[in-house]
Amino acid sequence: MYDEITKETLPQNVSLKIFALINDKNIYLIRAKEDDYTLNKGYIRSLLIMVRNELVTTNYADTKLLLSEIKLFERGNKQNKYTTVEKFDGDVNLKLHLTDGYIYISKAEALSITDIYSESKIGVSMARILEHELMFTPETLTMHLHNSKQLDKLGE
Amino acid sequence: MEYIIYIVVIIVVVFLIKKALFSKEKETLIIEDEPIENIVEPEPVQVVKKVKEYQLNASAIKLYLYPDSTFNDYKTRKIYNHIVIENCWINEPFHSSLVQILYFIDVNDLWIKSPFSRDMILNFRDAVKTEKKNLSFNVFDLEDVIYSIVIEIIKQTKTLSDKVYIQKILIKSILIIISKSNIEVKKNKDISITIETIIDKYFYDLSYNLIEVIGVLDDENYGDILKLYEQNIRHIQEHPYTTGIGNDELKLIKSQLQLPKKELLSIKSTLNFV
Repeated sequence: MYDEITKETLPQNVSLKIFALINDKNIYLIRAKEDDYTLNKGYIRSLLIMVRNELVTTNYADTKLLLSEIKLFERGNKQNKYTTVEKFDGDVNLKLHLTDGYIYISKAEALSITDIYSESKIGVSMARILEHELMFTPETLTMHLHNSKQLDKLGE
Repeated sequence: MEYIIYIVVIIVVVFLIKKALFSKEKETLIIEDEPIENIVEPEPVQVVKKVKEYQLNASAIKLYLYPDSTFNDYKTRKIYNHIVIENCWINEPFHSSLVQILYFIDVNDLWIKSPFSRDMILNFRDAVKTEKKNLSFNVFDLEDVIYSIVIEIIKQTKTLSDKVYIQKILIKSILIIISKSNIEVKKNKDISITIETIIDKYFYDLSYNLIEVIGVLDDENYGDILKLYEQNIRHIQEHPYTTGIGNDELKLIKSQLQLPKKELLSIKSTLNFV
């Protein structure tokens, strides 16, 4: 039964939060932070990126790849995994592919994304993200999304 | 001389008669009258028939019911208790056809996709690092929906005395709700499954009994039941759920199941699990 699924919670002192990178295009950053109250330190455990209704990346290596493509912008080449460079009306834009469609990212938006991403690492240490990264399974991740009300219809 | 004897005899006789007469009056004067308070009227005679008294042992009443071990889930047991045991509706073919439908629901985990949720697509990587996509959304438990609608129907039809009509509506509404669940993979979402296809596919053994209970399959109460369904679905708890995109996994639905048999049970023993 669907209410008997073990409510798998995050380990102790870890909290998941969603931050907005760009509001108009619904690009969000999900960060899992562990608080160590004895040492008064914070450690990042995972970083994910969510665009509209899709979680584009679910582990740290993929987010790093996507952000470096956004950083490079027009200097990227045809072997970009998530994006392609397009010229339109004299402007250069990045086209991000999703399963349902696509999104265009402009130069200013790319700059703000990289800035906010680097600011999210201020005050917390990245010492534990490589070895102790929080691994999700589809069931646990949907449970966390349900608890933070991401599965509800917008506007209701 | 003779006249004197006659006169003496007459006087003696008169004297005797007077004595006899007046003695009675003296006796009546001596007796006192009783006061009115002490007069007691005789009671009317009651004819009482002797009746043998029997004591009713309510705990010794036993009925042929399905035991608690038929249902694995407490929710289907709740529905069964609410419909059959509280109202004491044991008439066949309603009883066994209802239990077979509930047993079918109990064995197969079915859900209804909630209209108040959005789909999230998750891109995952395997242990071997191949890419996979998953779809997640909110979902209702089928038994929760059925329980809330059954309560509403029994509330609203309490004033009716036609038991057969209420039973017909109950089974019809349960089948309509099953048709809204994930019992079949719907490729075209506009086409909905009808009750007739469900009965033909999954309850083929029962079809004779079911049609006897439901009667002619018509759209008489269809609109009212849908209204109830849409009103009640807002108050039911949602649960999260994921499936994989790309793999069309056909869910194996177990049908044509064998029911366990009825047993003689007293009602109190089953009501403990309400």
